[in-house]
Amino acid sequence: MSQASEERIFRYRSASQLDCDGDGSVLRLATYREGKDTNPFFFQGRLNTPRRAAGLLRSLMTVVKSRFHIPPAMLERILAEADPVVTANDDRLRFEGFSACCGVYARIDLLNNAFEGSPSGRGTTNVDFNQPMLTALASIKQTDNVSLAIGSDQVVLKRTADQVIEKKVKLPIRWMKGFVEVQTVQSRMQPVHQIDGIHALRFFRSMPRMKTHRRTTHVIRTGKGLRLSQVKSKDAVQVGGLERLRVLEPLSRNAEKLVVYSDATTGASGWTLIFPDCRFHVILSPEVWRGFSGEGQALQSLASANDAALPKVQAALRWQSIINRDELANTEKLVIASINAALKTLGTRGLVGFDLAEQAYFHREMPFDISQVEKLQPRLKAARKLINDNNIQLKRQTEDQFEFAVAGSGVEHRVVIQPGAETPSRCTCPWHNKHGLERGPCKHILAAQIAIEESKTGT
Amino acid sequence: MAKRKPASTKKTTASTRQAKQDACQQTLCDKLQTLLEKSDTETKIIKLLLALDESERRKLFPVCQKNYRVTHADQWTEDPPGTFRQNQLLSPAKVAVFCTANFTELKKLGRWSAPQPQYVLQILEHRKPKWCGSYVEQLIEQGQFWSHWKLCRELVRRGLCKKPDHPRYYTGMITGLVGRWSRGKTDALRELRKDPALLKDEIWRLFEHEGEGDNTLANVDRWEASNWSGALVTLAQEGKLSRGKLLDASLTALELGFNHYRARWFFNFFDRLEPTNPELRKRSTQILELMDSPTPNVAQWAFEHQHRMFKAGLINDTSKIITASAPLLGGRHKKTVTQVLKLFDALATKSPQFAHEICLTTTEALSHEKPDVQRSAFKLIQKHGSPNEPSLREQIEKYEAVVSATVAQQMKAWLGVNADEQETEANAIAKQQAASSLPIKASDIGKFDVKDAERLRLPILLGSLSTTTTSIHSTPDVAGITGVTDFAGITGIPANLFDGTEIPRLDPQRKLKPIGGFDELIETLGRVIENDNLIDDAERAVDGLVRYHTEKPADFDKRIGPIFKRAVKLSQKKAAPFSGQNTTGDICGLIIAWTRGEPVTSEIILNEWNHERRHIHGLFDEPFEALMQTANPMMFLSQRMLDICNILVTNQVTQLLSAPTHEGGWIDANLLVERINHLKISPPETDVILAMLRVAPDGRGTAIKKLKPKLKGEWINALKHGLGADRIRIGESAALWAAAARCRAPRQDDTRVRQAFSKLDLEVGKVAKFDVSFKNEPRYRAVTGLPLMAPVNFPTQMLYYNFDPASSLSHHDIGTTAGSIHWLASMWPADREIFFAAGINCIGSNLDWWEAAWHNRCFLEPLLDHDTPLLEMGKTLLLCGLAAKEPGEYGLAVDIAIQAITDGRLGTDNLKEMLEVGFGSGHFNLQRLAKRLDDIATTSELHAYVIMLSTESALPTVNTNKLPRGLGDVFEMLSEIGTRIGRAIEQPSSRSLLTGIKGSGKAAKAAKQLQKLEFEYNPHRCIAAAVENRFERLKEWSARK
Repeated sequence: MSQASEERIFRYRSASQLDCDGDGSVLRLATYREGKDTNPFFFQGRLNTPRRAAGLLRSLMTVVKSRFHIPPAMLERILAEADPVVTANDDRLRFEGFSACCGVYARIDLLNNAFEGSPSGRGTTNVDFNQPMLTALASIKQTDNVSLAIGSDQVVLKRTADQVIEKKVKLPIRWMKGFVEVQTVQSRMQPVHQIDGIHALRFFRSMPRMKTHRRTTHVIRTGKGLRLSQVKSKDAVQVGGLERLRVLEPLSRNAEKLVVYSDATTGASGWTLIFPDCRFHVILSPEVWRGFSGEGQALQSLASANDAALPKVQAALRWQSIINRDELANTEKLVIASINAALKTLGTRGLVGFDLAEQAYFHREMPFDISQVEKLQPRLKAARKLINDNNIQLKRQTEDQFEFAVAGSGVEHRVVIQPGAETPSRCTCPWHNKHGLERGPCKHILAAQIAIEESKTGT
Repeated sequence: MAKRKPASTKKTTASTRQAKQDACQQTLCDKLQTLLEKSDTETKIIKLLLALDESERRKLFPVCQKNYRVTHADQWTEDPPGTFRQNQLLSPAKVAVFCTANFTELKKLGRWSAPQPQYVLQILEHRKPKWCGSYVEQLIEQGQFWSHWKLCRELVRRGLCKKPDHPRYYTGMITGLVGRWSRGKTDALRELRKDPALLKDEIWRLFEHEGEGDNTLANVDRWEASNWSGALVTLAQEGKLSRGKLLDASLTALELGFNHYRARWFFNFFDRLEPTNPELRKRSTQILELMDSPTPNVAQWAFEHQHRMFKAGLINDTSKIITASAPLLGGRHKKTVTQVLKLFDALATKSPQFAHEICLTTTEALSHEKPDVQRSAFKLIQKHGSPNEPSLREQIEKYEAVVSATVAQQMKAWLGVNADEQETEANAIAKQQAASSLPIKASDIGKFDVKDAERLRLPILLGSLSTTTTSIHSTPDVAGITGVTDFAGITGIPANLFDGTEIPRLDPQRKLKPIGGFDELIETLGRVIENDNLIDDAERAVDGLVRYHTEKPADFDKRIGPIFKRAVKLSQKKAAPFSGQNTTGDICGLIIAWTRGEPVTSEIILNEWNHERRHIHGLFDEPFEALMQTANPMMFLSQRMLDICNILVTNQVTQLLSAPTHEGGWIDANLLVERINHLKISPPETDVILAMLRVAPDGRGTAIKKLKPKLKGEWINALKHGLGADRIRIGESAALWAAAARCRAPRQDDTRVRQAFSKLDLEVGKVAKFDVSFKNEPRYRAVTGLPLMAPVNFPTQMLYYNFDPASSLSHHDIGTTAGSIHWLASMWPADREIFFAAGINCIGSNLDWWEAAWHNRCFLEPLLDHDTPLLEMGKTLLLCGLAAKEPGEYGLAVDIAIQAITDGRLGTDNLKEMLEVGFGSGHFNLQRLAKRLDDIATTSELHAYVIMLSTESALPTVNTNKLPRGLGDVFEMLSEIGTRIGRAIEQPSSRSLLTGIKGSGKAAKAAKQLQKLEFEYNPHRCIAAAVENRFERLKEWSARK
């Protein structure tokens, strides 16, 4: 289990709860932040559409508490008790989380017209969502007066005196890795379909009730709506395990639009329901049994040597809700490409997230030690070990091609790196033969790439 | 002041004491050892060890641990020989360990080191360790935690540890209190009476937790003897449990969003308590709120209670009822939505002041997927609402885009939008435009091959086009262009007429690029051994191996190392070579043979039980035992790989004849001839046979002319005969000539070949014919007189025999993975009828998905190709696919049907025949079929027209004496399509069938509704679209030539 989770103690000063007072209800989300933070709450406001917000939060928790794929040797009881992460930026609140299997990432963006109130601070925290809280959320009506307070409210503190509620959270390592990976996947996604909410409702209702986890289905446009197809075609969005989209069905009833995104490299898809004052994103991994944590899309960025642009871009992060790349290019005197690369790297370090609807990054700092993430990547660790043990040899080098011999177990693998080619890297190992580059590079290719970078930087 | 002893005396005393202690310890050890060596000594061991103090006991732990480990390693003893029983010394060993170990040591030894619960209790009660609480927590964490519940409870009860703050402590009671397999011995009531303290807290906590796996109240009450529900009701009646608290706890549990199966126990329990009216009134708000439950059966239950309370006058707040019931209207469950609509109707009638609110709420039901639900909702709105209310109007307009065509029409009429007129006007303009500019003219077709145009039925369609331009009612063309005679004067859209041998099949876009060198070969081999779906790449790799196997670089061993290692591993663990399973195993075999360079042979031997086993020699140091397959087409493909294997070890450069040049297994006849002309060594017979089966019909005439082989042999003659040359002398190899006959004319008997091998019992030269009948399951009966088994070199015959009911072969022999089916599909691309027949057997007998056969869908895949003809077996397979339950199968079938209607392979004539089988056989679920047909019809007007006309034409086959289930759905589907495209049922025979359906059932209602459709339809646009699509096909065929 030490590999599967990192045990951390989160001390919530109170449990999350929905309190009723004379004027209305106050939704208090107990939070946790590391460090000596004397003012652990940073947002308090009243929800304009409480019923919808409550519905979205319940849907997010449906995703977080679901395991769409249970590996044979894994018992249901090890369902991770993971709490969503909330970020307050300048003008919006973001709640995000993963399903227990790490194959679905969900995020709510509450825009500034979703609440009345202003943030008293900016930050990222874990939110405690307990069963009574979910039950309370279910009972919220549209006409209710509900305030959202992120952080321990003084009233609650007074009532609970000095009581500290300790909750042991086994923060799954897969979650941490997933947060890192999903940013890379999202940044590559392109919008493919956009339909009205009512057509989205019709589409979700037409989906088969049988589990389709063993099939890859494609979603194509038909008239004003969408339909399922078994044939891969142009503008078809690949979806594995349609049952994972069911969470969107009840929400789509009041949505204005549905936008569907696709990542051509991995086949992951993004689904965004747009409401007047908020958005709900669901990112699906290409197959049910593939969690984002194991995708390896961020490996290359994690392995890459620090670029000169990286510290500048990192220094420019000021809890922006949208990072304007053009503006950053002007102020920091950098080219867009290097800013993109730097943001991608920062995404792998948990410092920025990607907003599909805005097609832009936003600043947030994960409430866990992201420096651990690199150590938790077995492929990256193995690649570094190959280099440290001198198990990689450059055999041939031309202008556009590097050929390495990398020692495997009892055999020697041949790695060819051809930057700019249709297949930029190849290896003779079974892993690469099986997955190609769809699930990130194998350890041999990664080692070769690190070796090339090191030779360039002279380290 | 005490006198001090001298130091030497102290030392002596200490050593003496130590010696005494050691002696004592030794004695204890000896005693313990003696007890451990006997069975049934648990009590004596406990007595011995618990008499010691804790430190003395702990000293004995190493001895106990060692003894336990030794005993545990030998826990099964064979006594008498052949009978295994547990080591009788294990229980004493466990007891000894438990008496002496601390918690860490116990954890290290594992959960199985714990003795029986009565000993654990006795020992812990005496030892009173601090770790007792941790021990209980550990027990609770275990898999079958409920089996330890009684022990945990006893430890808590005796005050040895605190009550664990863990849901499993409470849920463990569900099974643990009574235990499994105790039917008739005890029950929950008896056990609860024994431990009344449980009624204070534990019992109420059962309402807070759902339970896990099969340890739930719902499950235990259903399958075990506990009867929790009955026990709690009895205790409530006796006043030992608060009845009110039980009612409240059940409702609170229902709010927690438990799984539907588990939630059912709680509402059934609530009902079992038989709440009185005052009790229900008190809890009415909570019950109403449950209608918003994410669990459908809880919402349904809450609704039923609301209805009951409303009738009993317990709730009078209409507004509250409307708000509470609203979430149910968005559900999928038809019955619930209909019930809510009925309630709303009653409410609106009783309290008209709420009519507007009810109508607004009802609009939610317009998004339901069933048209009849939408209709009921709209009927309610029409009855109680007014189109002049802006908010209602706005809501209805929102849903207009997603309601069914019939409801949309009603909506437009109600809202006052003169849709029909607008539509008609628009139609008239469109028709005029279409009429004035016919997309394709007869002169355009004249530029292309007339026969191809006829195959695509273009002259007929153009004739129909000119007829429908001038008049709404079409009439048969008098100029000899007919084709619509089956539709009683209604213009049909006939399907293309080709069997695939007369059209060019080689698509230049799908040409395969041969492997270019050693590096590419290694890379491709690496990929194809990991994925058996890459059939085209696998064939390229095999072709590359044959061409490049002699070009071994200096570092060959290093380069081949990784894939050789992988091939060996896969061969031994996953994919056995040359055993007719898939490409992966066979290619692994080729890699191993190429690397080792030893000849590979196959031998069938009898094992000790006289069973046949296939031994492969030459791949490994020892003979390799491969799976013994009966002769089937996959074995033929493996036999060919085995023959190729022996080319590799000869170190002779050659060329495979059977390597495909195009995707899907096709070989260009001209390239085949080039290969033959360059050949220096005779190819194996399997290679020639497969090459003949794969050769495309394109350019065979020119290919024969170019054929100038350097080699001679019977195979050359067979190839010539296969390619169409006349007056070739028939040789002696039946296998070669059988393939040549199938190559020459896949679906015609070859009289000359038949006569030449008439003495053989193999019917060489005879074409396969199928007789499909749907009874309990699809069966295929081959023409009589054929043998049931064929030798391995007769792949086409083997495919054929495979489906004879008397054959011992089953569809499993042709592969149970997607890769194996894809490989089989590439064997004889010119005629896939037999392949499709196999698909009917597999999909048709698994329509309701009683068996998870994920690979079956692959049988449908070749039908996506617009050059694959839809002949008898293809059509039946498509029908099976459309009626299948599994989304992958029916989804693909819908895609195929859409594609086939677009390219003209599916027309009103052959779809009608297909549906006649569907309606008349009783084998297919018509509800599903109607849904799929509706899905296809939404693609375009052409699709809608083809579906509607074919379906109405097939209706007369329905047995009116006993209407099949789901016929109502077919009628509803026709109504929807008819309303959408503005067409009524026109065929007199179909109309008379509809008139003849009496009664008040769904079918009768839908039939009446269908008859009400009154439109005049001109199929001009559909025919124009069909002409345009088929003209594209004509151009493509022409370009290929």
